[in-house]
Amino acid sequence: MNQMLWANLKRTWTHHFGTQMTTLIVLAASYAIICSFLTLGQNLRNILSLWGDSIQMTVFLKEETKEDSGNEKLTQLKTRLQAINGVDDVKYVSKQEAAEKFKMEMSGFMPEVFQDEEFIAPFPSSFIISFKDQLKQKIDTLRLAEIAKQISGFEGAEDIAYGQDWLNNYASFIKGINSMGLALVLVLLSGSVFVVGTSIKTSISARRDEIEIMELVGATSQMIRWPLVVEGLFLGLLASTVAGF
Amino acid sequence: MISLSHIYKTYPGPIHALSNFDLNIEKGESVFITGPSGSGKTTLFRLVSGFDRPSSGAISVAGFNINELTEKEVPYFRRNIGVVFQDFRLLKDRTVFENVALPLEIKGQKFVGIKQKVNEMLDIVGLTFKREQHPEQLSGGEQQRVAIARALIHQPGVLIADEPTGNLDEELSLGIMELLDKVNAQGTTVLIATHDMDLVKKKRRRVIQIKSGNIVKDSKNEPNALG
Repeated sequence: MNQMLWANLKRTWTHHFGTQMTTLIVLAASYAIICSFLTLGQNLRNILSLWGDSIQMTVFLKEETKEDSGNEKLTQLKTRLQAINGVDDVKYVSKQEAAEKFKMEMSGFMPEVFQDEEFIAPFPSSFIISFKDQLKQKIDTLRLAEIAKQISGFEGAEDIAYGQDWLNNYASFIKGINSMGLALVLVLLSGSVFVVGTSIKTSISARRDEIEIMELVGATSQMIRWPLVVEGLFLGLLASTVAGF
Repeated sequence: MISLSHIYKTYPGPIHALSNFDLNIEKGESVFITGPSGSGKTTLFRLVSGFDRPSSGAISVAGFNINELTEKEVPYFRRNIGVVFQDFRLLKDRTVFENVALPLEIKGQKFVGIKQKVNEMLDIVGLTFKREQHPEQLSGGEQQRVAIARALIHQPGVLIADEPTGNLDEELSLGIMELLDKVNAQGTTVLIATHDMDLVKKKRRRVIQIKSGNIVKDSKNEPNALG
């Protein structure tokens, strides 16, 4: 049986080289197109998920919650924040740290402002909350809004910022990209299924005589089917290798 | 060897291709089936070679009850008969040797055995020197010889030939008939459908004439018959 399969494969490529090559080219081209779109889509998703990773929430604290009014309230708030479902880490940023950070980022633009000793004043201390991957990847804006609402009820929290508008735009952008990608892949996939189906149909109708003759001399349906399956697998493998280049 | 009893075959339409058809062919007989186009010859051949099933009645060929053959059993039944068609039905991408070897290859025989048997068979049909050629390089008569060699290579008990000389001129037809005689002389039951009455008259054989799906004349039943 194995010997027959190989002999058949060899014969097909020797005697039907033109048909085999045409099918190979069509298959390889379809594979190549699908693969490039999938790769493109994956890269785009990677870039977008990098943006998604930066999703965090800042909870600005009321004056009396500041570190100098005693650690108890602060610790209590931190514990409450950490207990929220979806929260990964809570980091405290003191008034000074906030000012330092601001200075570092802005000193290039307005150096004279930072000469002023009084300048520290406008920055409140805060907690910066980062979220678990699941929440970030889903860009669950509803859940974020819910969390923000919950925190606003906590004692000591003054204001909450997490780039609501930007995040909403970002979420709908991602949603758009995803559904567009899905539609594109579906179109390409159904296109290639059609192309492959047609080439199989052509190949079978071209070999109807051969199939009939094989039946005539007592070949079982497996003996008829396997050479065709092996040919198809070989073509598919070859086409994907070619498409890979 | 071949037995048909109360066979009816109706195709959608309805077309009654065979009605209450009875036929009995003994082992080693050589029989001509004649009749005009549409008389039921082809239907009879399709039934006897297992390509079709009767609407009712019983058929037995080479010890196989055709009515009860399952899809999976049909190939094994075909390995016990040899079939020859008017249009030769050879594989164009295989050599004469490979075409003749096909039934043995399918039976799973070893190459050494196959080689010997095919060479012997090609010698019988007079095509030894054409063994490496492809069907397209052969004449019609030679192609039919290849088809007959393929039908006989596995030594079937029955050879069924549907218009085997239909595409050949008179001389080549006689050559093919001589070959079929030789096969019959070796004990193979031969059933030949033909509308070539000249050819039939030249041979002293049992002749069954059919018309509109019925036997109208069987030389076996006639006192002066040659069969």
